[in-house]
Amino acid sequence: MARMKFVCDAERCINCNGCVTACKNEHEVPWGIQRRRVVTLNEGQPGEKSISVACMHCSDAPCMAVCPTNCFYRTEEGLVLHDKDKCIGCGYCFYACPFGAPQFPNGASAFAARGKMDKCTFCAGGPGENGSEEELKKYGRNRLAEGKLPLCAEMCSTKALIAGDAEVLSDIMRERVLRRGYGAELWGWRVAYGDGKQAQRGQRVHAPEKP
Amino acid sequence: MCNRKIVALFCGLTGLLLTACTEKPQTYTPGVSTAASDPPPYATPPFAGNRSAWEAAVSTRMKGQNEYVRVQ
Amino acid sequence: MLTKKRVSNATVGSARSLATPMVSRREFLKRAGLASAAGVTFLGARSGRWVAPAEAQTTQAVNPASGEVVRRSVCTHCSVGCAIDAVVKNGVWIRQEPVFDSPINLGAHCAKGASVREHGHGEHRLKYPMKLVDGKWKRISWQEALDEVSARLLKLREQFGPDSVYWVGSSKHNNEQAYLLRKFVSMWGTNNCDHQARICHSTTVAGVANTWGYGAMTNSYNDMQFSKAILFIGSNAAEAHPVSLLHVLHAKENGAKIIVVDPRFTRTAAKADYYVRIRSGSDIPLIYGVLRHIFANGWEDKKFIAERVYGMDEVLKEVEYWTPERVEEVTGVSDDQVHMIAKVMAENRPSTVVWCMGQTQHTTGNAIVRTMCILQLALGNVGVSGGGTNIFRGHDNVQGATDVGPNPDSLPGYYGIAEGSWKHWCRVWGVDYEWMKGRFASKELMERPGITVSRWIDGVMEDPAKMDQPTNLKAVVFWGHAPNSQSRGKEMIEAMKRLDTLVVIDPYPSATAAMAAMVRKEGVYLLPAATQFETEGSCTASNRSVQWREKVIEPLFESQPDHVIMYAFAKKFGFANELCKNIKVTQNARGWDEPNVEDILREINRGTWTIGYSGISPERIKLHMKYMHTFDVKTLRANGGPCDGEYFGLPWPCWGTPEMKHPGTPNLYDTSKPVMEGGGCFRANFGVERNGVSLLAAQGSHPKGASIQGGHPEFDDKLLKQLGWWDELTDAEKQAAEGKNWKTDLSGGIIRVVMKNHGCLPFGNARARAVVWNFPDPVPKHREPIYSPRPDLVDKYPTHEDKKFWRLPTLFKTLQQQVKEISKEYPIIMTSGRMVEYEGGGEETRSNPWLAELQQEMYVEVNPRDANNANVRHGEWVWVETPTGARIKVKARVTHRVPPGTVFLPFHFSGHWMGQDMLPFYPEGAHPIVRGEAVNTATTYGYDVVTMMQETKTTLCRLKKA
Ligand code: SF4
Ligand code: SF4
Ligand code: SF4
Ligand code: SF4
Repeated sequence: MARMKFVCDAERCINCNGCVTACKNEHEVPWGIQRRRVVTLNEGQPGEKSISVACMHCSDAPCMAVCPTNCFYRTEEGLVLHDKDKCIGCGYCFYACPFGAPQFPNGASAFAARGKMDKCTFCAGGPGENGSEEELKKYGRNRLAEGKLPLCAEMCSTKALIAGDAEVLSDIMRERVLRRGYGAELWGWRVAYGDGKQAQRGQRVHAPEKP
Repeated sequence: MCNRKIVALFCGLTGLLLTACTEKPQTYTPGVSTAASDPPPYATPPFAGNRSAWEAAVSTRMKGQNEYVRVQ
Repeated sequence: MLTKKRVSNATVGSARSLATPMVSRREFLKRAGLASAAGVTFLGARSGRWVAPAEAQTTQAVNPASGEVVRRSVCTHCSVGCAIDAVVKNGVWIRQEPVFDSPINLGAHCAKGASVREHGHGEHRLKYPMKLVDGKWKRISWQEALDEVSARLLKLREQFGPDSVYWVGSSKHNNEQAYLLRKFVSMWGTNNCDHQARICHSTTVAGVANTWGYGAMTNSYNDMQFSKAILFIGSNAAEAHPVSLLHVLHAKENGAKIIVVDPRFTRTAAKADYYVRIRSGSDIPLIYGVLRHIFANGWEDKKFIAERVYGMDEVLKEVEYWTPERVEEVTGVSDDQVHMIAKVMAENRPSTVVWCMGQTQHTTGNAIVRTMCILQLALGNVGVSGGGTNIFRGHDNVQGATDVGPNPDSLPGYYGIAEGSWKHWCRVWGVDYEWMKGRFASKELMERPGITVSRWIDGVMEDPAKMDQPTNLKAVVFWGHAPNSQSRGKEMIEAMKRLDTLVVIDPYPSATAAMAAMVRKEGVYLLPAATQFETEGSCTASNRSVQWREKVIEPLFESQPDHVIMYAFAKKFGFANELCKNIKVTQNARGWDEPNVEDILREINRGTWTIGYSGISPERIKLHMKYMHTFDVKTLRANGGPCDGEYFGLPWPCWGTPEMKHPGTPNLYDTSKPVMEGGGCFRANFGVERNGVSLLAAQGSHPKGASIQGGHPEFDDKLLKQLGWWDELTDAEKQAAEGKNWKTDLSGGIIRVVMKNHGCLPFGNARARAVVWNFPDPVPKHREPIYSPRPDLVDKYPTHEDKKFWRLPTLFKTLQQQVKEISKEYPIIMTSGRMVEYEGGGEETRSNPWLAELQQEMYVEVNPRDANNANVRHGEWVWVETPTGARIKVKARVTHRVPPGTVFLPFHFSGHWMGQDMLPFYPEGAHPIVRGEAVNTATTYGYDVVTMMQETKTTLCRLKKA
């Protein structure tokens, strides 16, 4: 297995928030924490596009780079996970992340007292025994260890959001693009996964981009 | 980790940061993660170490996301 | 960018500080199905204190295989019918898995479906029976509740007659409950019952059924994958039926052209190839404009019209009238765009149309939907895969409740309420017709359609001398219906004041409870009902496929399933034996008597020959639920396996007895298939000729393989004898069929012989009617809404004359004339619609924290121009005021979604009343998390001239900065 990624196909995403509540449901994510959310550009106007965003599990992850306790780690599948026992809730990762993925349970505002960082785990839990009660409580379900994929993607209403091995995702997208006859907007891909040279690290995105 | 250690670590870091321009380069150096170990997804039941079975299972789910497989 | 976006959303989203409901730790453990109480969690961190991991208990690995059971159910939030796998452990619903096997949703869900597990925890539910005592909610026992409510209702029945009680049923009941409620109300002795379909697609059901036979979606969500062009008009499917877009976008990817016509640039429009902005309520002229181009270019399907349509010539005269100039004057749509629609629809056949409440909720709803049918008839798009009128229904079982549930003008299966209909059902129920008649105030009232749910308030307040029933309504039972979905909320409060008794039977207390507590001191009862996940039964998706829901968990708190509550009341009312003569009654886990759900469905099977629920046995649907993966996603047909050749969910009509093994009908009126493979033709329901013109299909037009190769009337014993087919019946069948027709022959013999032996449909083979002569406007006519923004057009296109129907005098022209100039004071068109996160009146979904968090405030969408004119900025409070004197305080969402001169409000909110939070009026702890103004507090008077559909899509308002 190579490298796990997310793709949100902006041609299909209808901003239905199915992915968002699927995540809430699977991991009992509390009120105020959004591991995933849907962003809409040009709302209400021709060209309106929505994209569902969570942690992209970046190739060269800025969050990892800035964490003062180095609590992040990368799994064999390329997932960027972290250890809540080591996290001090400082919020650096939030500022470093180009996607605003890290969330803080108590963070009503950016400067208020925070809890431990929480973010999308690609439904792969965290440190410790897979599928254990402790993992469940701290990080949510470990679907990957059950041989399943992220629930947000598996439940996406239009199959806009897909998750898995980069090669398989490319195949799926290629087929769609071929049929549509025009390119896919793989929003955020270059930022998250680099262009080979991985030069984009830390740079913020301002608009949808073509790969 | 007990609370005191966290506080100590935090103070230390704050000290570091306060030295502003001499900030440490913010790149991730592989191998220094402090996270506790996390067994790979195929290590535990239901796959119990059978990596290829796990890969097969996940790969079926992945391909299943392509509705063109079921719909032409 | 993202963080910024989040903040800007937050201006509307969280400007108001919310009480932050979170799951308690105990709750979390319970939800997760974990027994032990361990310490840490990121949830624990919410307390503001980080608990050191050392405190955490070392835990057992959860073995996913241990003690977990999977129960298959169906989402309860819309008519798409997405399947759900619920994982249950120790009686707790712990997880929800996608059902990739379902041909309908392939595992997909929108926000609502992906969060239904929350209903299995439901902290905001109504937990036990309550009554209003001195203006306060007080907990009572079920016994007290049943005793008191039944005593009060029986007293009213004695004093004022059975018609003094109004029963609002529900499209959220399963088929069995909806059916049992119709039977229950009949035995109570009235036709005063209704449900959500009235205010959802009643105009569709009436208009479309009168055009060609049945009033349902002709094809299916799946079949839209065969469409080459799709016209959405008055439908925002991306929000209202999100998973339908799975099929639509798949079609689009394969070249289908998508057109969206709507006053708003909806999320569906965002996915379209073409978007056309129309003035709300002007659909008829637009479609005539399209038809004009179709006929001018010779794009009409001449053969189809010649063989299968009646009255197209007459329609052409109206088409002639609608010149491009006139169309543009009324609709605001330029001729280029009208031409484009015609061209795309004509050149990309098969093309289909989709409509929803944007078309139905108008005073002219019945006529609007008929123009859509005419359009499809002209293009020859009916009865073909990829074509049809894909009418997306609303609630998860609104189709089923329409088919077999509490309708004021019909017994189950659209049998009507004439003497013959009653006799038919009395036979099925095993009760004496004379006994049944004795339950009613009179035979006349037994055969007179009841009051509609849209008008119950007038049933309470109208002068009884002007009504077609001897008494005002004295009691209303809201059995799974939100009050905030009916228009004229301001008057509803008055009606609630006047009632003797108000009963709410619902999993949630609903806005009814709060509205009533606001104006009353006593006489209101709340009874907790179970959700559909706490019982079993069948439900019918929009495409007529029937699916079976297994019971996921036992009813929560003190709730009971609706059919159990019905039986308990029937015992009190003294007709329990009659209600369940053919239905086994057993004790449920809590010792209540429960009518057997499967038996109820079998009784439905035995009675509803008209629409072919007769073949849909519990055994057959359960088999389909189990073998979902064997069905093709596009055709819905099983390829091999135990259901080989059948269509998923046996889309009705699934003709004859279950033993006849009809496969269901995926696309209605499709002559390209033999009838035993789901083929068909238009129904002969309106006679055989009119003014010397035949109403039957032309020679040569018939379902494939039919032995009668052209039009014919419906079958009865006489026709069978005439044709010499009588002796093909068995002796037993002959006995049952003598003197009967296909609808009333309880043996199903007529249907069997006609279909299996001769390849004909029992309901005949006729033409679709472009002219519905029994309607006020036989050829659809544009008429301005009552509250029209265009006084000039009111003169040209006035509404109907005032009329008394459905037992109530109803205003049309008088009121329109009175308010003709009111647009000077209220210049902005007010329209309403759906949001993806919530359903219907919204109490249920707004009580679900996973959904509530996403939409925390009621809003009004305002074009920047109107916002500037009213001096309101994005995120500010604004009063929306309407001519009724109502004013609602909502947040302004300044957006280009709506054009200048039109504002949009979602209709899922309740819990605020003209600026006041109604929180104190809800039973403690049972309030929805998110509350807001109900748009219908402010909506105005106006009803469809055939069905009493309320006008909520076009009325007038003005904005005042708050
Ligand atoms: S930078 Fe953000 S998106 Fe990338 S891995 Fe870290 S948290 Fe995820
Ligand atoms: S992958 Fe899992 S944790 Fe991440 S957003 Fe999706 S559902 Fe949530
Ligand atoms: S579920 Fe799919 S379509 Fe819906 S918002 Fe999420 S990514 Fe978009
Ligand atoms: S609300 Fe409708 S589209 Fe959404 S999951 Fe439920 S059935 Fe499917």
